[in-house]
Amino acid sequence: MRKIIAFAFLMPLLFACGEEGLTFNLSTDFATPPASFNVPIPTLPDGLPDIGALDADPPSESISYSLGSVDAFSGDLSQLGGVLINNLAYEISGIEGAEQNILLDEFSIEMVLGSNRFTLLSIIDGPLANVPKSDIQITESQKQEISDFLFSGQELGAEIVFDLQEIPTGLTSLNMDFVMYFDVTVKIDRS
Amino acid sequence: MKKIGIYLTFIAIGNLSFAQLPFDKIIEAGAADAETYLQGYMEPAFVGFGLGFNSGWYNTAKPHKLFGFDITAGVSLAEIPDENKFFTFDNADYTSMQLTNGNTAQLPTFAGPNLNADDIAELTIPSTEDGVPDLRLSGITGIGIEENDVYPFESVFVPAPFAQIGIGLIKNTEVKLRIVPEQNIPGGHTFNSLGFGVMHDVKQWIPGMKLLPFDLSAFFAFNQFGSTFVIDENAGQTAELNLYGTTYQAIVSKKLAILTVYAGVGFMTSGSQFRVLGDYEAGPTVLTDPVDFSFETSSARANIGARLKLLILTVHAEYAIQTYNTLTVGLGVSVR
Repeated sequence: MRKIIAFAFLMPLLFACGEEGLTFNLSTDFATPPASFNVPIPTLPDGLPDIGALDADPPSESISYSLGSVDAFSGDLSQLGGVLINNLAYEISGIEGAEQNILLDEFSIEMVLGSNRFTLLSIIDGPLANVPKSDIQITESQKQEISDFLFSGQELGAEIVFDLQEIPTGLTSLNMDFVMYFDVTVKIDRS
Repeated sequence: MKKIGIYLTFIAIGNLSFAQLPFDKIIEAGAADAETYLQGYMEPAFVGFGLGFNSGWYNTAKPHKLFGFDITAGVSLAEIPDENKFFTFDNADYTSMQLTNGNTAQLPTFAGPNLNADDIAELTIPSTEDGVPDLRLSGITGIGIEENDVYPFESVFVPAPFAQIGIGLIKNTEVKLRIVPEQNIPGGHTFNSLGFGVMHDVKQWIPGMKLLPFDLSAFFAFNQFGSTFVIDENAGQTAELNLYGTTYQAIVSKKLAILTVYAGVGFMTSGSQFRVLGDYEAGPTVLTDPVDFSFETSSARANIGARLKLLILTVHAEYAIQTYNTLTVGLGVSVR
């Protein structure tokens, strides 16, 4: 009798489930740890005339992102069925006082997908300024490229370059933080 | 929390694929919201099981003669109506989890269609930790049982098996017993069931009716089902499902050679309580006894059925119209 009852309970197992399988989407807008730009500005030795400005580009910084670095995803990646890039965004903060008088030749974000690189964002000229979280406009094909790369389990990089025009003398350092946001959906298939 | 899914399935429909549904993500929204969501998602399973479990008590209105008896087993299949394949998610019912877009949405219940996650409304579970972003999750898909090629029905049924003994007593009275002593299932899980029913011929008490060529009885039954599931023995995590049901029926039947046709009309009530006990981690917090909900159902009930009796062997089938219409089939042996 016990076996009959157990069989009756388990009968629907034979029929589960439909063709879509047991899938669900998990999404989160993950902020990378800030990349900090801290540039000491050399002071002119005493006795030299004030030349008005200096060249002092900060070195480029890189941030990285992989699905495994997102806690919300990490437990389900063995059942990963797909990756979708919803949005990429960036934020610049920490620029204060006279730092805001600096002008940019170019600010760029270069996406590094293994040996493949492409420019995500390039801003020519303009003032160096704090930027609240702002979307990066990327094409569908770029989204697809990034999605495929992440789906393969690899870690992508983004190289951030600030190419500054001359820095007014009197500044002793330049400090700013850069954060990139990856709003990503992972499709989990527990079928 | 994944094991809670296993348990839900086992006790509700025996569908182990529930373990693969993301209840472990929903619990991140906190106990109250997870409970509200589970209630909506699981209601058809618990209600259907309760209704099926209340069915199949009789297959004739004629009680056994003194010490006559029958042993009957079968299964009742409660049909989940189309309107119960979705439930309304209303932001106002939740304290933390909300729809990403809009205030209300129709989300699948377990009996709903098996949908692609992209076609189900998305929920946002706010983070409770600094520096941790909100989590967005597609609503949980239905199982889509009827979409499977090998599934023989067009509707979704919740099965409830039964086995019972009927014994004839004095005064055209019969008692029925459904007893399943506690059964231990590997893994430490248990279930048991206890029910009793009384059928009494009322025709004998109504002047002039005794000679009429059919049988007429009153029937009452009470039934309960209890089960426990060990989620994690070491962590003291368990879950419980308890159900009860009562049935009040007037039954009429007519025997035509080996065929007995019968019908009943009356009322039934059914209730269920589901609890998840123990401590569970959900993000930075620990939830204690996170789920405790119950359903109550009452419904008028009318059924019609037929029984074939070949010597002492019986086969019967009936259809009951109630909150979820229920098909019951069974077989047994019947003496006197």
